[in-house]
Amino acid sequence: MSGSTHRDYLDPAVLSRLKALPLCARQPMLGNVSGRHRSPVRGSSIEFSEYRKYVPGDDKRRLDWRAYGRSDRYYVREFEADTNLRLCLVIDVSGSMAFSGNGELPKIDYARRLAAALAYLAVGQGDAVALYAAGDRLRREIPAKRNASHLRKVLDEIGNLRAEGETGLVECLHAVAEKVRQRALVVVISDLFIRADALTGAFQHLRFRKHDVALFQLLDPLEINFDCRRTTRFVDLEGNTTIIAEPDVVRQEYQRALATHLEAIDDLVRDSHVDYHRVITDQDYGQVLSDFLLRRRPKGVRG
Amino acid sequence: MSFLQPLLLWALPLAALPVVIHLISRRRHRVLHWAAMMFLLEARRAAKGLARIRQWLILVLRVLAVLLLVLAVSRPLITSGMLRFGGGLDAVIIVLDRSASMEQTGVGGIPKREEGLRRMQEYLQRIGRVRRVILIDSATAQPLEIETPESLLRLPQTQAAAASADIPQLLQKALDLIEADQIGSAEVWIVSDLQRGDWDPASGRWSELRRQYSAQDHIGLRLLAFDELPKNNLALYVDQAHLENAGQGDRELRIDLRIRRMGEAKIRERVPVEIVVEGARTRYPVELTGRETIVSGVVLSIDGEVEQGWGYAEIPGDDRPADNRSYFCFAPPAPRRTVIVAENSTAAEFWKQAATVPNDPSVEHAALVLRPDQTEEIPWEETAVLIWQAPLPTPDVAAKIENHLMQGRAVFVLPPEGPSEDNTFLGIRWTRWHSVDPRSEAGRVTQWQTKSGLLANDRTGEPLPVDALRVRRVRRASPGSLVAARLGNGAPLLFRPATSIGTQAWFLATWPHAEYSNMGEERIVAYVMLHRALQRASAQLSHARTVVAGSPAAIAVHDANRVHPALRAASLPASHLAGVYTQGARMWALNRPESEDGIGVVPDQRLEELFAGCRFSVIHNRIDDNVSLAREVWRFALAGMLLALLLEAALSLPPRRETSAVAQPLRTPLGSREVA
Repeated sequence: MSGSTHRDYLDPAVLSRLKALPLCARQPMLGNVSGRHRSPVRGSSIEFSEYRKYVPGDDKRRLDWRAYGRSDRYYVREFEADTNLRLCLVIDVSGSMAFSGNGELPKIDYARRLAAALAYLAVGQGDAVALYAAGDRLRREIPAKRNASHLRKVLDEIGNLRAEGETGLVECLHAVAEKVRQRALVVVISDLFIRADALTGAFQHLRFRKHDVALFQLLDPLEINFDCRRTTRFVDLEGNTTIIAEPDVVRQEYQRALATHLEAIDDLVRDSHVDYHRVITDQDYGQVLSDFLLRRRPKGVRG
Repeated sequence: MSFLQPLLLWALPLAALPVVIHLISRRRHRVLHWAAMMFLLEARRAAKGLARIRQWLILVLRVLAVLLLVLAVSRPLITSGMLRFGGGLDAVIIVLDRSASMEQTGVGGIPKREEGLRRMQEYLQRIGRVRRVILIDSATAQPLEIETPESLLRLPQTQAAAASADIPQLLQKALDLIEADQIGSAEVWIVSDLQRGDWDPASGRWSELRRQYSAQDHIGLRLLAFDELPKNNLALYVDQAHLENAGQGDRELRIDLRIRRMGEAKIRERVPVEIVVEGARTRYPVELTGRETIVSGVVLSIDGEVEQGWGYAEIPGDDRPADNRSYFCFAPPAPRRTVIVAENSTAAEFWKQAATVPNDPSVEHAALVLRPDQTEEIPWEETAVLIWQAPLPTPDVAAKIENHLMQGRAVFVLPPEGPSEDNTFLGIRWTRWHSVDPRSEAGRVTQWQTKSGLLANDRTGEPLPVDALRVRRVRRASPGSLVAARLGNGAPLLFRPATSIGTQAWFLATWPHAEYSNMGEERIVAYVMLHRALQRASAQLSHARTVVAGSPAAIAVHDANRVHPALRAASLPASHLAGVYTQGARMWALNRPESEDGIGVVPDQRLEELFAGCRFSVIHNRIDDNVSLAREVWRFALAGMLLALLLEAALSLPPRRETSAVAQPLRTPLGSREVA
């Protein structure tokens, strides 16, 4: 059990390696304070945006005299505004996330590591972090703040998360979309053992709110290989359903059903412009996050 | 099926072991808390069909493998056509057809009878544990306990015989024995060639046999059938052999031969017939034409002092050696006595005159006329021909006449004057008198047998003047007879019943009176007809008699000495063996019955009908097949077990997951996806 004092899900080595990589949004953010992310509004940063015709009332100090000299017309130079971002971490805490097969890390622990590292990085670069625990309902929610004491609170909460009960991820995502009114980077960490068509509406809702959505789907190697040998009584982690099955008999059909589901998820994320990452829990989470951050860096930006 | 190690069959319940292991393994499952239950539920629904069948099939194959292993070590014996499980038998009863046709040989020269016995011997040795082995052979028709299977081929009761068999009678004997000795489980093995004459499938006895056998569940009927017919066969018959004076103190032996051909023979064929008389061999070539060739009057010179003798005629060997030789014997002819039982004195007078006119002056001819109420006075032992012109005989008299016929003598039956009667004799009943116009076609004889029988052509080949006969009144008879002469309107004039004892029982459908026919004027036909019958019948009264082996007349040879041929092995009884026998001055030539040379066999469909409802199976054999009736089949059981295990292994192989199109995309994570 992780507690507020033993944050074994935070690995300093991983964090120091990731610190060099910025957490970027793929689209402009609307923040409260100045930050390192692009904003949809024009501001006074050093990043040139465009020329605009002068209209009466504009600050004459922003007139570009060189442009007037070239064209004999008045133009105003505009610059992009930089702002901070809201990182909303949505963690699936339904019973299925407690699964671990053949000694692998339970999916909930893996999710803990991903979420904690992202929260740490975000606060470290001055961004706000919010946390939502999605069980059969939104079991826990911490609104976005950007100070160090808030980070501690978020990390403590991440450590206290328990995977149990049925899943209500779809309803929770709708609730998050409603609650987070300003543009934010919404990171969903789940095994997505829900019908893909049910998820479509939730992701569309988040996109409608102009959120940048990233999705980590966590799968255990045993869930993919179905490498059971003996007759097994499978007990549902989210209910009372029990099945006695010969793995050899059902393996092929199981894998066929899983593949179909994953294809449906692929279609869904493609249509919903979701930054999708399928993660198998025997992978190094540091590497997973590193790939995630690198891919999100704007082109041409270094360091 | 029986087993050499039946105790090992107690291990059969081990076949349930795979099922037990399967059930235990189902109970001893591991418990796994599972997240992706939605896919598992879907997979289980989809896997209910073929995969489940596959699992059951694997289980069945495992059970089968154990079952076959236990069967293999129990050393099963399988008998052709037999599927009875269980221990020993109380009795095996062998019904052996020893008829002449069973001497047909194959390529190896082994006759059907011997081959059947050899296979039975091997079968008995294989199955072992039989409490009693009983032989009922067709010649003696008596049950005989067999001590050891090895003795089967050496017994006198299993050697070749020349008589016909009566299969229904033998089956009845077997049944009587089973009931009398209260035998429990029994197998009745019939070793036969299915000759129609031996089986008599039209007999009414079959329905009773069928009823009795079908009521006995513990009796299995097995027919070891050697129904292979000869491809090319010739059968020789000596119809008659008698001495005649040739003048100047010389004598001639006149022999009438017949050769019947069956199978795919050449159209014309020359066959050397060898006639052996008292050790002297004469070769006489015969040109065969058609199915049957009759050679009348082969003349051999005989020493003038020889009064009596014997001989045989034979043709070269073929598939049926039993019908290649025919024995005969000759002696001075016996007096030709005719008894006339007539209600009409005119008719009696006509026949008396015809019977007493001698055709051979050296032979005494006599006739005795009696009224129908004087039948007690008939001297049966001396009578060659009986002429019966009266209402058909009562059962008592009919039985005596039948006995008279069975001894090879003849009867002429003429219609009575009176109205129709219900009486039948040899299955024939007189109906009504019909008048016909003697000048019309209906009053003339238009068809008659010219090759054999009483109206056959004479020695020179000239036909008898049968067409000169004119008939005014003819009496019809019930159908079912063999017609020798027929009027233009189709009415039979001379006919005989289609029964085995009726070959010399002639029915003449008119009278010789002028108001009935002109037979009284055209006497030649009636005269020849009567004297031919007299000549043949009186031969049976002579010191030299030719009889059919196995017939009642042949019983007389039991006390006689066998002259020819010398037997290679003891065979019983003598009355069923072809050859020449003597006792004092009397002499007998025994030959096989003609029915044994037939090519008609009982077809399978008819057999099924004969044994409908019985536990019956047929094993068709060829003489040259070297097939055993009982074979050890543990090799098949082992091969079956291996096959079952191989199939089980093939079905148990897990799907090739590494190359599975379904599983492959699941192995690698999708990774980050850049969204436009």
